[in-house]
Amino acid sequence: MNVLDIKDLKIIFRTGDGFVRAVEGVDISIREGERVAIVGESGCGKSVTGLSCMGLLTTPPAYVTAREFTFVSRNGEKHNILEKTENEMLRLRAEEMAMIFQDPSTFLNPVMTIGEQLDEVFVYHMGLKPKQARERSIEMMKKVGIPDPEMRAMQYPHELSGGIKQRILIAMATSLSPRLLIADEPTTALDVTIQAQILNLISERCEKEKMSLLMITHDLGVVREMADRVYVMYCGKIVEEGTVDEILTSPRHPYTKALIDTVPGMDEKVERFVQIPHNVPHPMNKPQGCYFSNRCAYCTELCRTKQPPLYDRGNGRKSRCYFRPEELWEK
Amino acid sequence: MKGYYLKKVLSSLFVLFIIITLNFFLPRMIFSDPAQPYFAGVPEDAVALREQIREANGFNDPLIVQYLDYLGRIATLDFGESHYYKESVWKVMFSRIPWSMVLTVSSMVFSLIFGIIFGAVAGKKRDRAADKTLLALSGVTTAIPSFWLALVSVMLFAFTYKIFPYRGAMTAGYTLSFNGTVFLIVFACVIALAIALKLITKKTLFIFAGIPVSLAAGIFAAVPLADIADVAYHAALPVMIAVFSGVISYALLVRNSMIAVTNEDYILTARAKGLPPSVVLYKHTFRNALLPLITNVGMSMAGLMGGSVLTEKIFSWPGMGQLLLDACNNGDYLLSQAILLLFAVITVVCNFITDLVYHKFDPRIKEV
Repeated sequence: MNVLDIKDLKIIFRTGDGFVRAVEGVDISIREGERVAIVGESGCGKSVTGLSCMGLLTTPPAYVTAREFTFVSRNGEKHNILEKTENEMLRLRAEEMAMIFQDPSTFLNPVMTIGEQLDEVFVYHMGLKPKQARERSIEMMKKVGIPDPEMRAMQYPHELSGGIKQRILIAMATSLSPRLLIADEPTTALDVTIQAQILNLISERCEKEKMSLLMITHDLGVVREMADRVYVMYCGKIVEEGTVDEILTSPRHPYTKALIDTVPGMDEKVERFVQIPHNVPHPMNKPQGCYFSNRCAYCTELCRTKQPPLYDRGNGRKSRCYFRPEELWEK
Repeated sequence: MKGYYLKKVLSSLFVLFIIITLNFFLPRMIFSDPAQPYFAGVPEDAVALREQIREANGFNDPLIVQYLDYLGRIATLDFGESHYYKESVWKVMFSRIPWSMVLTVSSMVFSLIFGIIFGAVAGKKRDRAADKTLLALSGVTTAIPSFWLALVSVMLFAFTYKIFPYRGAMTAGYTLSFNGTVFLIVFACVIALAIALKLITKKTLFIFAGIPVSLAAGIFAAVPLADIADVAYHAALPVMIAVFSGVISYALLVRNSMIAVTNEDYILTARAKGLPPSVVLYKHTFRNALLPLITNVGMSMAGLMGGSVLTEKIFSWPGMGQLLLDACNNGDYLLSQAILLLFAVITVVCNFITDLVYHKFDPRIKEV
């Protein structure tokens, strides 16, 4: 059973220079208990996709449309996210779906204590009295492995380390055991040594509370650890879709292959890091044909003129490329 | 924590010392002869007599001796007697301070209340009618000097239409009947209530609010209603002019800071938690957005007792600003020195208090 079903999601931003198409027709589905990752470079529209699930994009400047945008809550009720009023969304947020963010140091309110910020979830969603709420907060802090939670609850965000702050945000997001957890690059701003701890914590929380996970990241290492299925996004479109093992071992889209090639190995000594030539096109100035055509090593005349559809390559795999690997790099 | 306060107190004292020193030397550079006011009634050609007065008042001593003498008198809070008013400088100043405060405190209270509301509305609905009006008005208030506005409104509302009086603070005389006992009783009662509320709810807010509220309650109880009405009638025009520019500047500050805070990441976290919009606004946005306002208000607190020289002159208001102007014009040396010193002390004290209060509202300020 699917927790989330998105079909043909389009997100447009109105800016001073005109309209920017951030997301152009994306299909995403997440099954119960499944861990799904969206991978892509910055600016490919992966973060706004996450925010749109939570109904956190404000109109204007953002305009969200979709053929289908269904979220199924724990009691089996179907919700069309796009037709929800702000008041109805308040109930879904934190209770049914929650989100953790990139930089724990800017995502906590600097003038409120950690305890106050954790309590709020219990106070406004469960109607608990401040004292009971604090007990629950401390219990949550223990669950995410924060030592001495009573003391931490009295502290302000600036007194804590990045790792602890991210743990607090995870505690905040999972305190009502939502059905879907959206993690927007949760380890990007952390030290490498802390990253693994945080990823382990997220998996552990998801398993324990039977949450589905939507992991938004640009880090293929994170994808390998944290996901069952992957969507590769480029310039607001999905370019490849498949299970983690298949995508990482046998990519079918030149962009995915290029991404994997950029990851340096641990044991080989490299003179120069592999990079994808050129930059991601400006969202207001995307190429006419395939969006990757200006950076693709295998680009043809067809690629430059006509946008390829998302081909079904069988076995649940999809690729937005006219060619198969055996016609390109495996030749 | 203790070290923090000690450091602040010491640095404030150091600033005060510098101000006192400047206060001694600066007027001696500006005025032609500090002994001039002592010669009142002494004919020009009575050189010997003049020299005698000069000698008797220590003007012939070396500057450093005069300076030490001045420091000594300040240490004993002795400011001497005003030559023009023939009264102790303390007495002259304290008869004027309340009048300045009538104008400044009421202007500030009204400016703050309306400024915060206006700014919050404009900041919440950016680029809508309220916001555009605010931006346009801020252009107007920066372009038009407030004394010009004061002059024009006196001409219009006091002379042409005769809605408001054009000068003074009361219809007859400047003496209010003030019942000291009633004031003390009411003041003590309200303060006690505030402390009790603080002890019950454990919120320092009640102490912060308790002090001004009890002062106001005491004053309203101690002064007869007819006098209050008379003063309010006289103060209406100058207060309205001050409030007009005050509201705009506070509103602009709140508006900009609201917009900045609304785009902060932690507001997104608060929304993602499913908090109602009102909670996001008051508990998360406002608490952060009002921080710059605290600094601003703290700074202008210093001006509360000082009053505004221009406004008081235009409306012939018997306040401190007018007093300073007259003291300078009359060469009333000791008085002008004392007023300047008082302003300086108030400024330093207000900055000190602002530091402490800010510390309370923003935990990020390090206690080092």
